[in-house]
Amino acid sequence: MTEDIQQHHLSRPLGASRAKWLLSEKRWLILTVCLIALGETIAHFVYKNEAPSAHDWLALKSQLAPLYKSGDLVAVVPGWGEPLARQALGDAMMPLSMVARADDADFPRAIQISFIGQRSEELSRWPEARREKLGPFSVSILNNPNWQASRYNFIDHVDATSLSVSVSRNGIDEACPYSESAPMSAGNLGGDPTSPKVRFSCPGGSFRWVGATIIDDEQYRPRRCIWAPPNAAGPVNLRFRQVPLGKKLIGHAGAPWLMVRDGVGPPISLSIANNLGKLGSFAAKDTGGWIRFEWDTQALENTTSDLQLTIVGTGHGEQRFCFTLESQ
Amino acid sequence: MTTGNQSLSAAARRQSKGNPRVGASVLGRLQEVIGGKTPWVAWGLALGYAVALLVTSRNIGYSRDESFYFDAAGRYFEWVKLLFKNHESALSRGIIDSHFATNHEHPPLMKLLFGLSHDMLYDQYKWFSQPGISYRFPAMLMAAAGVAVLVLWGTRAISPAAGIVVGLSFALLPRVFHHAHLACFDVPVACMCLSSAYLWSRALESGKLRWSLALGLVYGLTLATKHNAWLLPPAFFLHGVCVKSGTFIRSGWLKRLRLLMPAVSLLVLGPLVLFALWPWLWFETRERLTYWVQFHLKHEYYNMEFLGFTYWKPPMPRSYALVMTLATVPLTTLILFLIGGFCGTRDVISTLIARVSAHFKDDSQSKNASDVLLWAICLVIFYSPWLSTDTPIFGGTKHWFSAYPFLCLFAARGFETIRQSLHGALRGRPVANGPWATAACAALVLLPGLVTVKDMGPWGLSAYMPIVGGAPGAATLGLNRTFWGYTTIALAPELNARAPARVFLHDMTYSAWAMHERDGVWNKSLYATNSVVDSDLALYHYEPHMGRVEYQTWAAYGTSTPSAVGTYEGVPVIWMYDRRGR
Repeated sequence: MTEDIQQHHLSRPLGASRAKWLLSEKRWLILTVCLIALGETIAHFVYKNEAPSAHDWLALKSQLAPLYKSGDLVAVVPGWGEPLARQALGDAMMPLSMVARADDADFPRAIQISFIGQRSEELSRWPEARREKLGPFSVSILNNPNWQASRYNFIDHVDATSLSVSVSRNGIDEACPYSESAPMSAGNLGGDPTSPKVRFSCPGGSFRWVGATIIDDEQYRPRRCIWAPPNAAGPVNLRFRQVPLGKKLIGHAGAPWLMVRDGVGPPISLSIANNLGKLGSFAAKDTGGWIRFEWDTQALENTTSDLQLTIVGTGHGEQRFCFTLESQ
Repeated sequence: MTTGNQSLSAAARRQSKGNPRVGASVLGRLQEVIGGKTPWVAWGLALGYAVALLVTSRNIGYSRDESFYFDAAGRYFEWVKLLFKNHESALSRGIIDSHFATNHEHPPLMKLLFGLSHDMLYDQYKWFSQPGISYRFPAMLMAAAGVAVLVLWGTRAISPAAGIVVGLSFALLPRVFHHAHLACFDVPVACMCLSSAYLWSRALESGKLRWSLALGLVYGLTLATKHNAWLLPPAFFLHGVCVKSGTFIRSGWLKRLRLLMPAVSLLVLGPLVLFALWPWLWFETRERLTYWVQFHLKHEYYNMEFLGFTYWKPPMPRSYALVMTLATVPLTTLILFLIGGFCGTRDVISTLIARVSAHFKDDSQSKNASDVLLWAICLVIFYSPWLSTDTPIFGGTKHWFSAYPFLCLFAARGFETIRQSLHGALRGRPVANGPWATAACAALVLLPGLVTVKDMGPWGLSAYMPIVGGAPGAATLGLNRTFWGYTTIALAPELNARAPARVFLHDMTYSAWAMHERDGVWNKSLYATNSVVDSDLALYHYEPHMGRVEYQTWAAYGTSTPSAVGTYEGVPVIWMYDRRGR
């Protein structure tokens, strides 16, 4: 075609020559359309078979077993493959607590299962210790360069032995009774998260309980956390007994995103104190999403202390709040 | 190249007749037959399309909206039956309101047809073994009729080959093919808008009363199908002004009245037909019309994922319609559309220049470009709502389906350019002749749509074209994977294998579940529930903002391991949890 164009520009053929040139140009048009149609058809079959099959996913479990260590973070990239990974690997390799984790940083090591050439941006700074090709998957072992061992994870102690919950009504503590067989409920699409059987039920009923559940964050990802919404009756107090303290307390807080994303109220305050006084506080805005916070406990490192967490909202009693906390 | 209502078609026939080899060949004769018997070809293709839709309908699950229309169809048609039994009672306000209050945000035509079809073809004559398919049947016929109209218009305006290509291009648009199965209004209204536009063109061009009356009648039916019809009058008037203003100014009163006839019919007969068909409007007409308009102009916003972000309130992304069209319409069709658009624009401009040169005294040239201009105006007007960032995007592509027939007409215009070039290139070559090359070329440009439609099965809303990497690429880009909770049927074997059980119906209505039950899809010991904590099995249709329902299931069941996953091209679309660990 280039020659044709050059000829056209240089000699400016007229009549039959010009018609011939036009014809040649149209030949390219025909060829282009035909090639696009053919290419699009072939590409359909390529993409149709590009993603790993059900068989590939099932085979992955036995292939991954020698690489997996309990406590590993198993990440799937692209993320849309995760349900298939969960189905194939099961709760043993992908437990609920890991799938609905508060933060990738809580894990010392990650197994990244990637396919169709995708890589995780979130784990891109973790040094790769090993990489293997397992069928259509590329499996990488990544080490967390900043991992700190957890001394105490508060969500693992939401039980009557370690925790008591009360609401301060006019300065008087009203206990939230504990049950291990409370009736469960779930609010469906627009409603509250599942209330677990094991929970503290606070005044006001409905969603005003304290227990472990799972909420959606601002990217609609799952976050397992301690549900402790503010109470219209007064501040909600969570007293954890004998918490081993380290250098810091790391937490995350938020509210079910779909319920609060339009902004339903002013910030919710979470503060922490021991018998000597206040250790820190944090204010969570409902439109802030899933927020990380940190309190310094270096002065109390290697001690054990009873800790009281106090949650205060606006008083109208419709705000939601969920948090995680870990002593490192 | 000329563009004209009949000029290209005639040229094709002349070309065919002028080539002895073509004339002698079977395909050459076929082309002549096609050229001469376009209605048969059009309705033959329509019949084929209706059969293809019927055959594949069983695999496609009932969507949320269909379930609302099933219920409304039943109520509306009960009233029709009452009208024949006891018309005095049927015409009382209380009876009309009690029957037509349900789903009164949409006009009644399709729901009446769904009800009629179910009553006649399932209840009475047992033509269908599944009640749900009998409800869907009228929408399939409408889609088929749309294909026929496209073939007729394409043949008339371009060429017989282009007529076939435009009909099949539309039929094989993957999203259109999926929606054409459903007892909904989107494909029917697209086909009705197309029919109205075709009749407008005929009425304006011929000046005959019968075409104007047909236009008014069909526009009324379009109004009674869905509110997309509101956009047609401004499109038609703009078109009319562009192509007939010179004639109008120069003509006498009688000719002027004749020129105004289509518009009068559109504005008078159309609304009358709507009013006659919608008993809901027979009382408190102004208030109820106002509600209808306000409901759609101020429609609430639902969640929709687009490029990894879930939009739930304005501003909505302006690029949505463009990107989703690119992602779901075969690239080949879009390339042909661009070629056709270029050629069409060139023809319109050259016609305009000719008219200006003739000081607007000669309207004869504008006839040639009239259809092209009408297609362009209709195409733009049906996309135009998405230029506003306030327009909801929750319907995915279906809300601009009315633009697709015109997009395909331009694509057929592009195809004609290719076809004629091919004829020119092959002239004098011994290896091939025109009809074979035309057939091969048509088959090739239709192939991407065909293979996608063939493979997508029950996953119509998850199907994406290769330009975005198919379904895997779209999932990686964060394009909507499914909505309407219609893919439960894909897990029917898994559900039935776990019976007896109480099934949590995420995103699926009881009514849709019940219709599948009546169709005999579920084991009779499966019971639907809306409570995840009271269920044994929980479904989850993937949409990011609905993830929270899945997490409620995890917390209730104590596991995040699905027991079954339904995938399209390897991408999870729906999955299921079993509390009992099976």
